[in-house]
Amino acid sequence: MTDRENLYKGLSHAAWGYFFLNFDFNLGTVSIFPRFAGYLLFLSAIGKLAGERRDLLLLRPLCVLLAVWNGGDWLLSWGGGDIDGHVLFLDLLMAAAGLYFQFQFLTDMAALAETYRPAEDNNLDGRLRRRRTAYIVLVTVISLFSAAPGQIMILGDGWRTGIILGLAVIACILSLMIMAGLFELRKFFLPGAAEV
Amino acid sequence: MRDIWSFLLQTLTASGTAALLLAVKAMFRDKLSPRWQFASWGILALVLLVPAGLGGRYALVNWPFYVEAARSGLTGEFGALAKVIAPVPLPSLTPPRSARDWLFCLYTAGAALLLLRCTVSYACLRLALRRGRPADDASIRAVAERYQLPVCPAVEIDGLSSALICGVFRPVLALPAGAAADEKILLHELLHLKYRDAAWGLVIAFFRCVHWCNPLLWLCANLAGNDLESLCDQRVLERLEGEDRRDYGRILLDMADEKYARAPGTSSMANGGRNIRRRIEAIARFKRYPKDMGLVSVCVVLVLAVPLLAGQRANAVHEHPLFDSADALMASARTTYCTTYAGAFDAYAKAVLKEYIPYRAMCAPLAQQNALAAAYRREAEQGTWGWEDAGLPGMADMSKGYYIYNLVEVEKNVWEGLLAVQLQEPPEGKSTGEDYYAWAAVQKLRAEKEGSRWVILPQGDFEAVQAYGWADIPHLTFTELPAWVYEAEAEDFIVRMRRQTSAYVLSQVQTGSGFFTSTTFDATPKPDGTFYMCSGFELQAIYTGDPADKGKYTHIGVSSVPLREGQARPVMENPGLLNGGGNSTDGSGWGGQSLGSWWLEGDGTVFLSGGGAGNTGVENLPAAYAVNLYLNGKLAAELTLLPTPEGGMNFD
Repeated sequence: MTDRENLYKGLSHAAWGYFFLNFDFNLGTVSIFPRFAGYLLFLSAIGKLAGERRDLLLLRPLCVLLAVWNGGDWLLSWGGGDIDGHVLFLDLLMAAAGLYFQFQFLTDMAALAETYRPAEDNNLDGRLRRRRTAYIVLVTVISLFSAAPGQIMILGDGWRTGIILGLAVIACILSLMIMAGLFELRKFFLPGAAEV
Repeated sequence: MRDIWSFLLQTLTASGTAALLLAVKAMFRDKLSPRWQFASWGILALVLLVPAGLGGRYALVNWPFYVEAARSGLTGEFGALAKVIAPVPLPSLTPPRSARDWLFCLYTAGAALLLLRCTVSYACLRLALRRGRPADDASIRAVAERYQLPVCPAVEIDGLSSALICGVFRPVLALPAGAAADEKILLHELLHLKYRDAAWGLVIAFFRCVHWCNPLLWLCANLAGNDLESLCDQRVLERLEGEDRRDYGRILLDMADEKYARAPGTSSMANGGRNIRRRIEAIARFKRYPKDMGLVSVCVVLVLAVPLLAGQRANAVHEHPLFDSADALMASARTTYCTTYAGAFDAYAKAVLKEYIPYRAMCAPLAQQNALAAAYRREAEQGTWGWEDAGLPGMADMSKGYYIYNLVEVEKNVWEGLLAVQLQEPPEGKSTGEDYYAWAAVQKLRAEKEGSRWVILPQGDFEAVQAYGWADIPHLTFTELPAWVYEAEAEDFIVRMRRQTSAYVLSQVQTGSGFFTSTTFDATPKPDGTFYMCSGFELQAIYTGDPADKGKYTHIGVSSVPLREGQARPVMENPGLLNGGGNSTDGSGWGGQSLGSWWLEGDGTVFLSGGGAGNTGVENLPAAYAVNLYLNGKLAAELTLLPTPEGGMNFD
């Protein structure tokens, strides 16, 4: 496999990783697009893109950790259980790891777009960075809304749930935009396309 | 912190946060900047400053429960709760009497001695600086000018191993005597000066003194000090280029074998061989972190800090696998206390329904906890579960839930209401022969605040009341229960308004799935619950005239409006000759009845209007009702219905 084919595949995996990460369709209690599969795709993407972005290797341990955590959650879901909300210590650790992982991974993707930007500059790297920033802020806000106790929130429980749902919908739209950006970046490495 | 238990609660709470921070920092050691590495200690500092268990909340681990279980297990005392008033040791108000009191004295003395030691060592250092020789400040000024940094007085001290800045408000730069200070060392110290890092040294020393017997927090204090130095290294490297950076690393390497003494209120470049090795590793990794790295740094701190500072509340009494005993369960109940008056009424009602002492402990005053714990332990030993002292006149029907009637705030933070639960069977000896009508057990309750806990004080025994006309006890206009009554008399009639409210914490849960769902009553108390309120009224006219004169009345009608204190009487419309009534959301009502043969034969009571509303919230009772009485379609009297003395709590 040539380097370009590797990069092309790596970016495909990265883009589909976001799909698994943000879209949840359940059969009963079991997700048919499990989040851990998203992290496994990211892991594969890191392996394929690390030659271009050495920094990506720093993310590998985090990615394994997140894949294991989400894999455990998915396995428990077969029995109707879940892994979240039982040990806050681990929940917070994973939340911090996930946040950093997403930020750095998208930063590296934007850097890749900047390096391989075609002559007719379409500012894909800038768009990816803006989407990354919005995504990280949204994930943080959702996390804070979920964590803040009802009593200290001015809004009632109904409003709070509504706002979290609204934010989650926006996050899904953003992740679709990120996917679109990564597919656009993938086009730079289409087998047979001219090198920049 | 006034006793050893409150110190334990505070230091364990901080330890949980410290452990999390250590794990997160280990994860991000080579990923996030030294600025983040140092700033993240701010979360621990905030947790150390906030009294643990504030508002019944805890961070990460339910330490209030563990401390309470240990406290009551060791002392056999249940009538108190470990409570942190301030995050620093306060002198005990009573002389030490037990080993635990002496232990707290030992802890306080340790903290005071360590604080004294720090103060003395700082004072000695300042004295030594005063005796030092003024240093040649030309090189210092040159560095300050080149890097646009502030300067301070500098002295040379004999025997000093490395340069340091001492003091926050009147800082002094101390340099080793007899050796020309390297420009990079001066840059490092002047950067400490610029960012007033010595103040952080004081903060770290303060927490070290307060938690002197917690090795985990000592470790964190050491690491925070090292992170401060790494942050300063980062600031230096951001100002140096190429070979100068390598030189800086070499200078640090030369300090690796130097002994150093940590002094509060100082910042020294040398901080021990092992730490310097870590700093050199960080220098090897040095990079200028991009600006947008700040975003994720802030986000990570927020995601960690908000749940740790806001904390979480235990919302259910639970049996703990590690503390499988009646006393531990009661400790869980005491620490899962009620933070709202609705939660307290709910816990009491469910304790009655389930006859479960731990639920009662959630909302019982601390003075009653010893007796409750003894009763529960006795039951556990005998294997006879049930709260015999609840005083119910019969077996409660848990599936029907409960209602709190006529809830009213009698004074600030004091609420009263009538608890009604449905009985499965008539109380012994009270069968009426019409036992298909529901029987209710009713008890007057008062909710008060005891510190941050809401507690319930029963105001008498249960009474058994039959709800005539109802198969289940009604949650509106339960005629056999007391009500707030407003009355006035005119012509041949007494006009009477009966008003009731009912409240409950929503506890219906859906069980099952698909087509096989059903709704059941969840008997788990909701200690921070809020009430769902309903209110209802009934307007009656009672004939007081000569029965022989009844025939002169063919129709009776009323219009009514609730009046607040000082409110003027509004204009009301004549409802006309209608049969029936209605009411609007503002509490006004109207109604009328044609008086036919039933009237001539009856006892003279005419039901004029009635109704109710759900989800009303807690209402303030009207001061009076303005009522227009219409007889035979014509205005007969303008009445003001005033409250009668019996109120909403007392049985007629």
